[in-house]
Amino acid sequence: MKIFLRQLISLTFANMKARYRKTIAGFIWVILNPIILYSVQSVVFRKILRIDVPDYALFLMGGLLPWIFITNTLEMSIPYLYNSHNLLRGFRINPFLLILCQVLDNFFNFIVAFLVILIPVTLFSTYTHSAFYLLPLPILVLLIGIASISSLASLMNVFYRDTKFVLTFVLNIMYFITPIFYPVEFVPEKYRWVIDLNPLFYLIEAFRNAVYGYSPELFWPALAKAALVSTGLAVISYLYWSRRKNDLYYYI
Amino acid sequence: MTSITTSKTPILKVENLYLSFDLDLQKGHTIRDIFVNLISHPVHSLLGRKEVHRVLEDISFELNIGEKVAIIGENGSGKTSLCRCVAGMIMPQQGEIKTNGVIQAVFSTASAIHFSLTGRENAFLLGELIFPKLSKTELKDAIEDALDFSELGKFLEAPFFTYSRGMQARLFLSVVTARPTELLILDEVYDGADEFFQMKMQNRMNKVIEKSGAVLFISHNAELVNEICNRAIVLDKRKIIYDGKNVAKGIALYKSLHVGGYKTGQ
Repeated sequence: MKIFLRQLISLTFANMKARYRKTIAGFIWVILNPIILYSVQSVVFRKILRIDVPDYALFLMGGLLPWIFITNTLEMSIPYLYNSHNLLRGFRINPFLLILCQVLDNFFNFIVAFLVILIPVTLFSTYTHSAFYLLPLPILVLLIGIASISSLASLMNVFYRDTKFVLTFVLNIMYFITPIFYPVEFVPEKYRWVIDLNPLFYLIEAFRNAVYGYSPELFWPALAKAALVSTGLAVISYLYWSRRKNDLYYYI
Repeated sequence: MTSITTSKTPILKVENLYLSFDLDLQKGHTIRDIFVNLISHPVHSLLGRKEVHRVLEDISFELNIGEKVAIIGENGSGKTSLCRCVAGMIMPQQGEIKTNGVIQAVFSTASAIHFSLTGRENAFLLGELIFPKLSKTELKDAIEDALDFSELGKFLEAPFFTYSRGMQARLFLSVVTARPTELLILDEVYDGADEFFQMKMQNRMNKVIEKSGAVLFISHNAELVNEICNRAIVLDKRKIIYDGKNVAKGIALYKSLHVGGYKTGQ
C-alpha cells in the first residue's frame, strides 16, 4: 500500500511534468479551460437567460466545477489504457496505477481552478449559506466515484474502441439532464425520476450543498447518497476488472 | 545480499498451468457492433456462446539457480503468455506458480513511462516502478550505475521520443538489470540493441545469474539461444513438447515443427 502510494505520487508528478512541459504557462493553460467555461456560462445564464437563482455565480460553481472535473478526467483516462499499450506490454506495471494518476492530475487542476474562481466570487458576495470546511468529504466521495467510472470505462475502451465516443455523447446529453446550471427544484415533479436515476447527480449534489444552500438536513443525506453511489460504482468497476484484467493483455 | 535462495529450493515452480482468454470478437470490437448485432440477431447475440481462446494447457516445470532457460516456439504458441503469468501480470485460470525471490520481466524495450520526458527522468521513474522496495538513496545509486552502464552520455538529457530503438533498449535493459534478481525474464528484448551492447548485456546477465539467479529467455535467434542458454523448453500448441538440457536438440525440434516450411529438421 505504501509502495503503491509512493509510485502513484511519482507517476502523477511525472505525468504533470510531461503535460505542462515544466512551465507555469503550461499549467495556466490547463486550468484556463474550466475558468473560461465557467465565466461564459455564468454570464450567459445570469445576464441573457436571466435564470432566477440568487447568487447564481456561487450556485453554478458548486455544480459546474465538479462536472468539468468529471468530464475532463473521463476524457483523459478513457483512452489512456489503450494508448499506453507499449508500457503495459513492456513490463509489470499495475494498469490501475496509470488510471489513478490521470485522475489525480485532473484532481489537482480541479482544486486549483476551484480556488481561483472561489476567491473573487466570495469576495463580491454576501452569501452565507456555505460550509466550505465540509468540502473535503464530498470531494473524497467524488474522487472515488470518478476513479471508479474512469477505470471501468478505460478498460472497456480496450475491448470496445468506440467507448470514448459513446461516452462523450452520453456526457453531452447528461449535461442537460443533470441539475448543474439549474437547481433540481426547477424540475417538474413528473420528470424527477430522470434526475433520481442519474448517478452523477448524487456525486455532484453533496459538493454543491456545501458550496451553496448548505443546511445540515440537506447536506448529510446528500453525502450519504453520494457515498452509496461511489461505493456502488467502485464495486462494479472492481468486479469488471477482476473478470477482465487478463484479457487486457490479449487486446493491447 | 539476498538471503532467500538456498541451493535446494527452486526459484520458480509452475504446476498444471491452464490459461485462456475471453474473446468477444464475435460480438464485435465496438459498442456500435454490439448494438447492431443486438438489433439484427437479438436471440443469437444474447444467448450466443462466448468464445474462449485457449493459450496454455497443463504447463509444469521447475527452475533452479544457475539455469538459463530458452523458451522456444512458434508465434502464438504461448511463450509470452507463460512469461506474463510467471511475472504476475496475468492470473491463470488453473494451476499454481510459486516463486522464490524477486522477478524482473521485460517484454518490450520500446516503452517509456513518458515519451516527452528525458531518458534520465524515465530511468528514475522506471526504477521506482520495478524496484519498489529500495530506499531513495539505494535507488539513486542503482540508477546512476545503470545510466553509466548504458553509455548513453549526453543523450540521457534528451527527450525519450528522440531515441532510436537501440538506445531505448540500452536504457531499459540497463535499468532492469541494475540490481541482482532471482529470476530475470527477457522476451525478445535484444532486437534493436547493437552487437556491441548485446555482448555487454550478456556479461551483465551472466553476473546477474552468478549472483544466484535464473533466466527465462525468449528469442527466435537460434544462435543467441544456443550461446546463452543451458536448458530449453519448447512450446507447441499450448503445451510443452520438450524440456531438457540439450538446447541444440530443442532448437532442432522447434525447427522441425515447420513441416513444409523452408527449413525442416537438422
